[in-house]
Amino acid sequence: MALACTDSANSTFSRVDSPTSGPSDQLTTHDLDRHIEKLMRCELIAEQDVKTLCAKAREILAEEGNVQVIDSPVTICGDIHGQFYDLMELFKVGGPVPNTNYLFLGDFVDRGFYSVETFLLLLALKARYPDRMMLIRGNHESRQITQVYGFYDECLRKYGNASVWKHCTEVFDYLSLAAVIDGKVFCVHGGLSPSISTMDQIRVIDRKQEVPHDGPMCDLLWSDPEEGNVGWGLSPRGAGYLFGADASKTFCETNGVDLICRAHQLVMEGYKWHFNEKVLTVWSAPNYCYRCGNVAAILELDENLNKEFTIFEAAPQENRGAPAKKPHADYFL
Amino acid sequence: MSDRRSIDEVMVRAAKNAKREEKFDLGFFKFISLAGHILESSCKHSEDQEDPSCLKCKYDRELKLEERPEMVFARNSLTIQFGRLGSIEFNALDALKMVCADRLPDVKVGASTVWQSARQDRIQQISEHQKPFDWTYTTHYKGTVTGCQVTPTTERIDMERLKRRDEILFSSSITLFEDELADHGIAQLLARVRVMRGYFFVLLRFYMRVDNVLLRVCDTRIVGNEFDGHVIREWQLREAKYGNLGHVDPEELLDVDRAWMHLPVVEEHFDRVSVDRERLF
Repeated sequence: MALACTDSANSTFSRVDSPTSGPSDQLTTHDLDRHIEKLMRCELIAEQDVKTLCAKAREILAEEGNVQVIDSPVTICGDIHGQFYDLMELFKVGGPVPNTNYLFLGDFVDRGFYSVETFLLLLALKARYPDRMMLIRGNHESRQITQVYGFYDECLRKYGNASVWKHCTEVFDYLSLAAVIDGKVFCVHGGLSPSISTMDQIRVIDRKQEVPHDGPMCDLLWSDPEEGNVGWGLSPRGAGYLFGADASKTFCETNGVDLICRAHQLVMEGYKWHFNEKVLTVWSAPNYCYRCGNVAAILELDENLNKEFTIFEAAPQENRGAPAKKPHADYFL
Repeated sequence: MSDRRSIDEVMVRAAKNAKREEKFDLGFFKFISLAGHILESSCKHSEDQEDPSCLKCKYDRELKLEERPEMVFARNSLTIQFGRLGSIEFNALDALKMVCADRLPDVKVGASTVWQSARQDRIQQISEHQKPFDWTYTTHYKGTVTGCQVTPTTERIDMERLKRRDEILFSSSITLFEDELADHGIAQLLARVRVMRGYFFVLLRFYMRVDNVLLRVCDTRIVGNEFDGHVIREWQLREAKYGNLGHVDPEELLDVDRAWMHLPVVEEHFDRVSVDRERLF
């Protein structure tokens, strides 16, 4: 396309480069490429563009089932938490989109410095390559959680109002709850629910809502495996299920899957096996919160579902936008 | 499976990048701040072998806790040395040893009532949690003292002096542990030091926030002058329910450095930690 594009933040005119499109709710491949290019540099796109992008993403996600059916080969990634420059490292070691098919297991936002850029980039890639970029929902993709753990404040700081946050949270409601790869690998953000024995029971959930406190949708996004536990346990915190070895085995047998792959919990080594390799935790935010010193992992599944882990470190300081500065001495009391 | 060696190489590099060591001298005192990556989730040595240097084994052995905080900075410590005679050290293991390992705390997360009432039938079928423990990781730890005398005192830390913007010659901040309470809040233990001309200030702060339910701060403050053989140590436990903090801006409650002063003091102790000053020369 020869026409120059304006990047002006207040451009609300219909685009000159897409004469056939109606008003701003139409998004061309060219627009998407332009957004991707910008977001890849960790630059924000205009508020109006966020609105159109979110509308487009919702349209695509609405067509997807609660349990996305995915074919191998695919690379599975765990929590990202707004660590934009580390996501760039992930694409470096995992391969660029669309050459590599990706499945992200949620928790794109909160805690890191660049939740906005991270989520919008993943969304733009999803809109541009819908079959090669799979996103499922994590417990942080929620209005309530993002108001406490950073994403809401970040949107306010970067855009001056809450409308971008609002557009994004509307997309959250459309994200799938789980995925299954070649019918053999079940993927979910948190884990299992005692009220779910078959994948069909997930398929009938009405997912297009804020993550509720009740019902199996909440469990899928929040639960954790517990070593040494056989069946089901309750979190000592008073909310949340813990699933054990037998519960995992039963779910696998009932559904004909070999492996339950989930994210949700930090591990120093980037991944961790549970229950005799029936359940796997994958964590993709290296040096979590910029101080844990952990490595991150992605799991590559080839056409025959052979597994290969790739471990990577946080982006070197010189690749991060801001220079490494020791935080100025603070007069704490 | 990917080449085991390349995985190990990344791990070694990451561990090296996370490592930090800072030292500073002030009069009789020396400050040593060490930092590294969080505790491993599995041992590097095989199960049938023992490795005395394995920190995970050490934590497994010495801690009775059912679950550890998800981020345990087992390599981090902050030490105040009194010449060669004694020291006060802050480390995660000693702090976690003081967490209650056999009782649940008297608090539940904000969502628990709604969560449980929606699942009553099923919850009754699930046996009660086998090993209850204090998942808020509340610790009254005020440092590990070696070679010093600890005596109660009526002396107090001069907070007005600490509010002065005296030039900071050295500062360091290290986390000892942190847990996100499964995304229902935070429990964190942080040790900080700042050294000004002639005196220093150390703050060990345990901070716990159960979102929309409870805030708790347990502070240990230590102040000393460069050529004294003693320091004053003040220990304070503060807490308040969210219901009693309606007058405070909710945003302020998310930042412990602003929130702590809104919490009433529940308990406090003051002591003097000293060595024989004559022997410091």
